[in-house]
Amino acid sequence: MPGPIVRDYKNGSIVYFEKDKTEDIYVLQKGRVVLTYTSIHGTEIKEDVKIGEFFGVKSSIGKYPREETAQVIGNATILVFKSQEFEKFVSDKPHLIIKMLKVFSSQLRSVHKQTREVLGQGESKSPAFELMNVAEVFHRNSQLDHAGYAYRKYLETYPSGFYEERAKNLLELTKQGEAYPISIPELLYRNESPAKNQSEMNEMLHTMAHTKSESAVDPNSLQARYDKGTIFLNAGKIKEAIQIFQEVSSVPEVKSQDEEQIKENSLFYLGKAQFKGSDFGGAVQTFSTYLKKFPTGHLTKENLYHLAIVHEELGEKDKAKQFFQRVIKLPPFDDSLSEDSKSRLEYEG
Amino acid sequence: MHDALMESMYGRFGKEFQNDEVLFCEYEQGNDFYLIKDGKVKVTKTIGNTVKTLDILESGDILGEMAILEEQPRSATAIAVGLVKALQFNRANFEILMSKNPALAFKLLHIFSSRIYDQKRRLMMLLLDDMQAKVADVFIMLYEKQYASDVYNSIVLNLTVEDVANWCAQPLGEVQKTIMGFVKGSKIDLYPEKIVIHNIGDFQRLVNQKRKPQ
Repeated sequence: MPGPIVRDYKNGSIVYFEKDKTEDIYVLQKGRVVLTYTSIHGTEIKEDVKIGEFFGVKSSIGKYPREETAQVIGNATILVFKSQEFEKFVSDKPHLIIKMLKVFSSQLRSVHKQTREVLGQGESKSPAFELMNVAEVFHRNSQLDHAGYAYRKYLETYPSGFYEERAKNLLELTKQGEAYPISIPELLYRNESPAKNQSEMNEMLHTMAHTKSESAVDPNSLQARYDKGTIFLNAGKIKEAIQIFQEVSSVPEVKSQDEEQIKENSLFYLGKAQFKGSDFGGAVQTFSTYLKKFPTGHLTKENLYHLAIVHEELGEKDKAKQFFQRVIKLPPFDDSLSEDSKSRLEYEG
Repeated sequence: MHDALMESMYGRFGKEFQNDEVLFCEYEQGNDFYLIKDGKVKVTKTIGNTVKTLDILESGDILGEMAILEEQPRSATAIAVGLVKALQFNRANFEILMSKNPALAFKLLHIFSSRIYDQKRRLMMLLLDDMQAKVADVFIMLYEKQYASDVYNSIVLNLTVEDVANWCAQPLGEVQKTIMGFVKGSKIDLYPEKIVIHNIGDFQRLVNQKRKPQ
């Protein structure tokens, strides 16, 4: 195979034009070469090639049209490789390939990022929640092995994570070949901030407490009453659940931030219980009250989503649509609530 | 990569996955990337309450390559279809591995350059704000991939209306409407698994008009 050739270019010569389909790869030895790109957004970008630097590599290796125009400013000397010669040339210079790989890899990442932005997918706010959600979707779809894998990954990555107890319980079910339990409270999105983690985890453990309700908790405490409400709700005892959530959500005074949180949650669960009991009017009123009382509450998105569902149930498609649209405008933009709202909006046209 | 090279590296970096075994799961933190030696790997994504298959990768394909640069949650789930033999790499052994196997490094370079181009090409299509132009540009994009040189007679693209909707990330109903418009205008013929395009030039003109002046 002949080696690379040395070519002299006169001022203003074009080495290659954008969209050309040629496979040569170049190294600037002497003089100046300017690359002119058009960015994705249509602006023109100019970039100087450094002496000793390769150019035209990506389109040559990837075998696609040139993405930029290369023009010589002043006189220049350029080393020209055929693509096979280039491969041979770098084959004993792995450090050079690794350097190029890193450049390519960061370019790929940047294009990925732009694509996600255009698609409104943004960075996921809570990979912990999303991983748990993926596991539960597998479980619901009877893909027990895949669900088991994802629960295990959750527990490995977030050993004292917010959903730890839930993941353990559900993992156990997959091991026994058991389907996803319909009675389990739905997975609620939490933005796990480390400081709040412990109290939130405790709250969640209490929510899950139907297996350990005989704990040392004072049976008349707000927490205990709230737990009881969740158990009733899960067991389908709607009337009893509604009564408890009504009481808890309207207690005049709370003693701690945790209790404030319980009060807030209870109002949401009251709406859910009313919805489950087919009291759609009541549910609309409760979810709306939540939004008024806790405009930045941590269950705002869930409330909007449920309002949409209730309106759908009532046959009020326009209202349902409005609420689904509000859901998809709230981050994280690709969580299960957003995705489900999007698909329902598409279905409704 | 040459089979002999893959074979020689399999002893040290090889990993076997049984049918239906998970290579990695969406939102799992990723350290490793894989080069498939034998078998097929299904790539899925969770959408709402369902699991959707995005792609089937085969021998010679690479997956999880974004992990080369930094650890970040996986964007999809990879599941073995049948027995899969794969080479498994991570950031720690990556540089040593590449130094010893320039052919593999070169293969990666090739894959990355193609991926960058394909992604940029799709991004250009996504940035069009006209529905007709978006759908037309999906046709052009796939035509460019499938046909190396210019073709002036009818071309056949193996894709469904749903595929088109996925490519341009638009609601199926609207994409369907647009495609039926093209069918009525005798620009294309629609079959269950394929679309026949009578003159790709018509679509190129449409897209050029709609693409914002640069």
